[in-house]
Amino acid sequence: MNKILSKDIFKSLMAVLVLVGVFYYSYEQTHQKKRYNPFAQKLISPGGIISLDESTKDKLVFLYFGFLSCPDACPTTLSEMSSIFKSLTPKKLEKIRFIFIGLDPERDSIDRMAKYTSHFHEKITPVTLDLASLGAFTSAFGISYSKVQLKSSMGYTIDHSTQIVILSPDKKESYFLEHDITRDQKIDHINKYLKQYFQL
Amino acid sequence: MKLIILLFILITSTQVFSESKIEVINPVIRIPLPEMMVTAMFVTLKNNTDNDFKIVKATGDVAGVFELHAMEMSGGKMKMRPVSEIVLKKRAITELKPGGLHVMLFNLKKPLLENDVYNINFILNDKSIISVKAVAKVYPGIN
Repeated sequence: MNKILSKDIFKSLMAVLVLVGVFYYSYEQTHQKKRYNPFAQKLISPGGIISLDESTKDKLVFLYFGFLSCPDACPTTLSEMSSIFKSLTPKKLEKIRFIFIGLDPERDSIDRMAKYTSHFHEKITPVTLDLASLGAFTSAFGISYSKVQLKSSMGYTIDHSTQIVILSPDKKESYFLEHDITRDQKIDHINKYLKQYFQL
Repeated sequence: MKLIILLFILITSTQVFSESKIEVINPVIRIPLPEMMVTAMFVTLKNNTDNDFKIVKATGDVAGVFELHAMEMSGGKMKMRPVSEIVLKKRAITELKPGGLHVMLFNLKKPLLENDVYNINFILNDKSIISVKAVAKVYPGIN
C-alpha cells in the first residue's frame, strides 16, 4: 500500500517538475524576446565588432538592409544615397551614420560586403550579424525579410523591405525613408531631420 | 551545295526581326559590382505588329545562364521571381527596367567593359529571334 502511494507521489512530483520546467522555459523565452536590445547587438564591421549604442552617438543613424545577389533595389538605393551624400555639406554629412546590414550572412561575408560597398560612398559601413539574431534585429526596426527558395541559378533569394530606417540621435524615434520617393524628396526628408535634431 | 541549302533553310526559318517589327530601344547590361554574383539587363521593346509575342528565352555568349525575372513590391517587400515568359503585347511598349521585368545574367564569361556591346538574343514563342546589342553600363552613382 505504502509502495503504491509513494509511487503515485513520485509520479505527481515528476509531473509538477515537468510543468514548472515548461513554464520557466516559456517565461524565459518571452522575456528574452522582450529583453532583446538591438542597440547592444554585436555587429561585425570591417573594422571589428561594433554595436549601434557605441558607434552612433550624436548621429542621425541610417539603417539599410540588403544582400549582394540583389540585382536592383540594393545597388540602386546605395548608389542613390551615395550621390545624395556627395551633395550634402561636410557639416551635415558629419552628423550621419549609414549602416548597410547584410541579410544573407550565409553567402555574404563581411569581406565580400566590404569589397562591394567600397564602390559606393565611404559613409556606407557594411555590417553582418549572426543568422540567429537577424530576425530579432530586423523586426526591432520594422523591417521584414524572408529567404525564398527559387527554381533558378540563384538557389534562393531574399525578399526584403526596401525602406531606409532613420533613427533619431537619442534612438527614441524612428522614421522610414521609402524606396520609391524621388531623390529630391529623400533630400528634403534628410534635411528636415538634420534641422530638427542638429539645427543644421 | 547541301550546306548552302541548309544555311538558307536555317536563315529563313529563324526569322530575325528587323527594327520596324519589334523595335529595340536602349538595351543596357549593368556592370556588376565586385562580389555581385549576378547582373541584370534592361531594354525597352516596342511591338509594332498586330500580334502578341512572348519572349521565352534569352541567350548569348556573355554569360553562362540567362533567366527572365520579374520584381514586384508586395506587402512592403521587394520580391524577385523567375518567370517563364515575358509578353510583348501587340502595338505596345514593354519595358524591362529596374524594379520590374529584367533578364538576369549568371556566370559572366569575362568582366564587362563600360560601353562595350554584347549580343543577346531573345527567342520568341514562334521561334523567331530578336537580336539585341546591349551596352555595358556601370550602376548610376558609382564612384
